[in-house]
Amino acid sequence: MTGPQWSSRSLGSRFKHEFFYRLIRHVGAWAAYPLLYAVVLSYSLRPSVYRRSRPYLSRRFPGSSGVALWRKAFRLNLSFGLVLLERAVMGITGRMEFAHPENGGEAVKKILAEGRGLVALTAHVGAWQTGLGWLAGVERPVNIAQRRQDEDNDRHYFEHRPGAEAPKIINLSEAAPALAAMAAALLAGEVVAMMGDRIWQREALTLKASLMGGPIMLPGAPFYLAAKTGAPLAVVFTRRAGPSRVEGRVWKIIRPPQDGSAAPESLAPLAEAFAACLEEYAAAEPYQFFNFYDMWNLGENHEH
Amino acid sequence: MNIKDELKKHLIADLHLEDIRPEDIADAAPLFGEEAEGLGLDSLDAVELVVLLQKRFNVTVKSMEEARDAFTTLDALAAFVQSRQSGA
Repeated sequence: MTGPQWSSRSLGSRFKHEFFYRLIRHVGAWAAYPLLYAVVLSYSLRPSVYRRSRPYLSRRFPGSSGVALWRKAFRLNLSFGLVLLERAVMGITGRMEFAHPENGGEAVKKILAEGRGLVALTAHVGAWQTGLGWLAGVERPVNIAQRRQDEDNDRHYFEHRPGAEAPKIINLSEAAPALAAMAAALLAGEVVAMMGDRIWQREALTLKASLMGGPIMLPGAPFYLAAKTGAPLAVVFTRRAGPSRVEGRVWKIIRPPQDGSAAPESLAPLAEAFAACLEEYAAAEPYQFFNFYDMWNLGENHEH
Repeated sequence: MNIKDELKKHLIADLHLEDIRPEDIADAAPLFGEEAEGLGLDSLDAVELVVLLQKRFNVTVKSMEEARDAFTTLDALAAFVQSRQSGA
């Protein structure tokens, strides 16, 4: 299938990333902040970078255009830069304050006590990678399903510190073994964290949902896994609440169909519920919604 | 009934493989990929396969590597089930 074209390839070169890492390690995080502002400004002046955020911003702020919209794009890019910077700071120095105002950890523990595992469904919002660190406190093994490209230059917080308690990574580049490993983990009562807001070009199942007044396609695998294993889905979002401060929240619990049906029509309401969560998040945190591509450009042959 | 025959029966029933009979499933043919070359299962069928192994054979898949090796052909799948059941 084809779908929206996005890339996880980092904008910054490997050299720039490494420069930031060394600055944090040898000088201190404080030194990286002014440099980040300058880098974000230079990126934001590039039309190609502006074009990436425009589809989202023009839907989120329908009345804005011209300079006002560019300012919003700069703010969004800066917010993204801060999240990446502080993820590196956490990995290198261990400095990060987590807060869970609605006690999301307890909600997750309660569900895990049911013994059916949990799909922790998140999205490219807030401090999503750093924020998943709090799942380590749920006292069950945590698996993170992710797809990485060779061009990815930024690292996860746990990759900065070899030996640190790290979740198991399930590499999505091999779809069938990866989905098998995720199903097995859920059947063993473990947590499988995955992104639910972007589809890949070879997604076996996609589901249409509505976001900010237009249709988008979401990957069907999280909902399929939940339906087949009986594991509930916890929509887990994080937000950057200040310098090196992340708040996590279990946004919603979505239960799979009780009859175990994984037919697209049975899974569609689950995808709609997740899209509604995304919309609520974008309304609450407009500058922490990090999908820098046109989610609403569905391409051809997008639906299965 | 031997393990291979049992697996074929459950594959057809649990994965809702239409118009396929047990004798159509070649032991050495790939389970996943293009239908012309084998059974033509897709990645979502891997989920179903894990559930099937647990439900029907009380066999759990422990890792991605295990799934990669066991899910290649019916021969490999049968050997995997057999090794697990014998505690190897």
